[in-house]
Amino acid sequence: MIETKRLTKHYGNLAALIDLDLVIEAGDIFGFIGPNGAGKTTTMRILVTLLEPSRGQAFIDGLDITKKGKAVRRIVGYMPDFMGIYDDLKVFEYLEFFAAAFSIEHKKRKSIVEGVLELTDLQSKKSFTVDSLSRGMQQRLGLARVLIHDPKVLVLDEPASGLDPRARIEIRELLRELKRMGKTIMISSHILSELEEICDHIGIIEHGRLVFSGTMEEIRQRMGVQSKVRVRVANNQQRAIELLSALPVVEDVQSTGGYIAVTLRKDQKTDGIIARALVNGDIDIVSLEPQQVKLDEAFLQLTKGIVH
Amino acid sequence: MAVALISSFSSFINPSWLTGPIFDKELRVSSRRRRNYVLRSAYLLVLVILVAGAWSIAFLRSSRTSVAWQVSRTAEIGRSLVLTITWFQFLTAQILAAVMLSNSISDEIRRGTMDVLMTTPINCVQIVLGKLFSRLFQLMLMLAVSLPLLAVIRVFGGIQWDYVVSALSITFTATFFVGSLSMFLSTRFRRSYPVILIMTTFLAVAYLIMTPLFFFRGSGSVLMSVILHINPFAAMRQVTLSAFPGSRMGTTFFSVPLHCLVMGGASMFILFASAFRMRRHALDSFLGTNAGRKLPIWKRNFISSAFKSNRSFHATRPIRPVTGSPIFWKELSKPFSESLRSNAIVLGIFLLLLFIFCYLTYLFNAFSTPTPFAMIFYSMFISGLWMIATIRTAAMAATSITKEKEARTLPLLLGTLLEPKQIIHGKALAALWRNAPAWLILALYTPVSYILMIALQKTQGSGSLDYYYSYIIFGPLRIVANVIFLIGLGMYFSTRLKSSTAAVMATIGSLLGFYVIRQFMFMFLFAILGMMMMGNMQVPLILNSIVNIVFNAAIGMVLLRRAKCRLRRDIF
Repeated sequence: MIETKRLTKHYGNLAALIDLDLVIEAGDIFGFIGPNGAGKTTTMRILVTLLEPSRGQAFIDGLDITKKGKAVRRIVGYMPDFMGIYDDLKVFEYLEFFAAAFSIEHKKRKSIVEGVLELTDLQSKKSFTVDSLSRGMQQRLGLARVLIHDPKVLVLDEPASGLDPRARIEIRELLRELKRMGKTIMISSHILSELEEICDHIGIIEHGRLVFSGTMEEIRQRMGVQSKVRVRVANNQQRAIELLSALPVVEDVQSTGGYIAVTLRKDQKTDGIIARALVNGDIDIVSLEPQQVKLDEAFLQLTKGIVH
Repeated sequence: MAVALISSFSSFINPSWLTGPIFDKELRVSSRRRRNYVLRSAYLLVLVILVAGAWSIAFLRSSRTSVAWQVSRTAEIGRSLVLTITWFQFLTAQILAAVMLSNSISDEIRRGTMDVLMTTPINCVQIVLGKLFSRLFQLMLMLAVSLPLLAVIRVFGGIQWDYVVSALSITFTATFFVGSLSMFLSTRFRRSYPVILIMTTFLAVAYLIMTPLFFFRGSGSVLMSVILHINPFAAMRQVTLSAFPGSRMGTTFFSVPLHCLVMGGASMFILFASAFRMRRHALDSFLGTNAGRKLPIWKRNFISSAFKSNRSFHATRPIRPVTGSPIFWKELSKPFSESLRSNAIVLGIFLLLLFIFCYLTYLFNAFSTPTPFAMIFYSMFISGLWMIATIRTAAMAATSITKEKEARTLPLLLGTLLEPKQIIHGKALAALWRNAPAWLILALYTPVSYILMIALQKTQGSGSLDYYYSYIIFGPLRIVANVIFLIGLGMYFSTRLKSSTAAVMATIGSLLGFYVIRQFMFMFLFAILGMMMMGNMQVPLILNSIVNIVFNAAIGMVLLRRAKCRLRRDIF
């Protein structure tokens, strides 16, 4: 659905993007992460035709963004990292204005606006002025605006920034709903744990270059990260450590704060070996939690924190 | 105790305390801004054109070729040049001060940096003085550029140093006063545009309304003396009169130092009022809305009914469906009834002041021939309406795109299917629509006036009436061409610049420069063509009308086209 080929953008002498090659499949939620100034926003702005690339090509649904700007805007909804509001308009008017700007027929506008208001749970706020809404509500309104012309592709630049936990959860649920509706979503965020939960694919960009693109599983493989298991036993912790250390799949065992942290060798899975060994050793297990590699750990390992 | 008191007093009068770090920061930031260099260059350009024009006109008038006679004319030319420069400085410095300080406080409040400043040891007085002095300092630097020129021209003779010093003193205190007032208004309004509009109207009214009093025959009156000391325009006129040898100054008491003292005192009072308002804003911000406000009920009611805030108004009005062009609809999102209320108040004040002005003109018999009151009111009403419509149209066009940039809605707008052409046309049409009543009156006024004049001239059996006939057609066309030019100029700067203040400043400055240059060119051509036509002025006048119409319309259209091309550049 989205494809870039050697996409490059220069601001004077500064290279914001260097030969970016990116592919996002239709119906995917693609998480785009990177340090501040890495080139995420520039990529998104180019994709939505607000910036012209210095070099390279980008296609959305097969349309060249530099040649078919209007056609691209018709199928893309863009939510920038800031909330642009017309403070003298009401919520309904704001959405109807953008519906008119997307050339939606006058007779269809009301039902479409009502529809997106329902989807974003803003029906009760439709008579409120835009500037009287809370930050979370304004973000929802931003999403409603993006959906007004029913785009195939959503480009969302940090939609959850500055929101409280409840609002963030609501936005996350909304994105899941949009995915169910078949939308392709490109989303950037600094709240990596949330991206991890909703994204099918992750792209990590640093210093204008794409350093990784793939699924979370591919991240783990790429990093060669060992799996970890956290075990809590009811009795005889020292014996448990000895039993676990003797297992061939285990590389390291450490006792930390009442737990036993077990690090498995590369490409090894627990598959009940740990539980079986402890039960056979007459140890009562209180809990056994496999520890996955987190996106933020992957991010820290894959990037060096270089910013422009 | 005494030591502590002396110490705190000495720190208060210490210049570095008065300005504080704000002064430093403003100077640092402004020196990096390209617009300040553009402004200085434009100022110098207009000044050079003015001086060249004044020189040419003065020289052309002296048609005799005898060397002795030409030498005797140098003093007169020197005086003409000095007067041109000092008056240009006097008017420009005030307009620039009004514009430059129009967003000084409101910008800090809008960006949320005022609250941060309030949490530092810097107090309100320091903020106000730091901002004012930094901008005045830049203005003074600009005025200082012309000082060597004044010194050189002084060699020609014909003018005393007293005049130059007095004129500069009056200019400085007037600029200080106007800057303070503009800053005070910027504590009241969120945007710079209404401040600029109010200040321009204030300057026009405060200065023009006093003009008829100059014709008051009762020399030596206390009223005249008071006006001379409180009105910079009157004071400047008085010192200008003193520059002409043999002029009858009368016995009216006037002292330039006293005038400067009065203006300085008034400015300080306004500055402290600005500091007080800022403090109240800080209290509002920290302790909740209206915490710092203690207005009497009657005043609160009056303000809320007269200038109902946008927020409360928009909260109560019904949802309006979007019809026609979405841009045009949005630009006119304030319903007619609401704009009618504020417009009616402005119009009422305008008519009242105009009535006073015309009545004084009539009372003091300012015209050389006795003129009926209705005639004076009619012509003055049209002049005032022209000025207000011109400034409003130009300022609205200039803020049309910049306000989208400031509200960060331009990327959203350009992310829709709207073409730049549709956006520019919608905004241009809205700027025209908002001022349509004034322009319609002006478009109708010219043919009607000239038909009446033709009838009057015919009864008096005057000569050729070609110019009057031509103006029945050219009058409305000139209005149309002028509106196209104003909107084109405003829209161009609106797409080119990032802030509304810069766009309005550039538009009004270009407009003033353009009018001044055009007027000088016209006078120049008029003098040459007048000589060629042996005093028949009909042809130059008709020619001037045609050139004006074609030139204004063409430039306006070109600028609108440039605005369309620029809209998708520099979005962020």
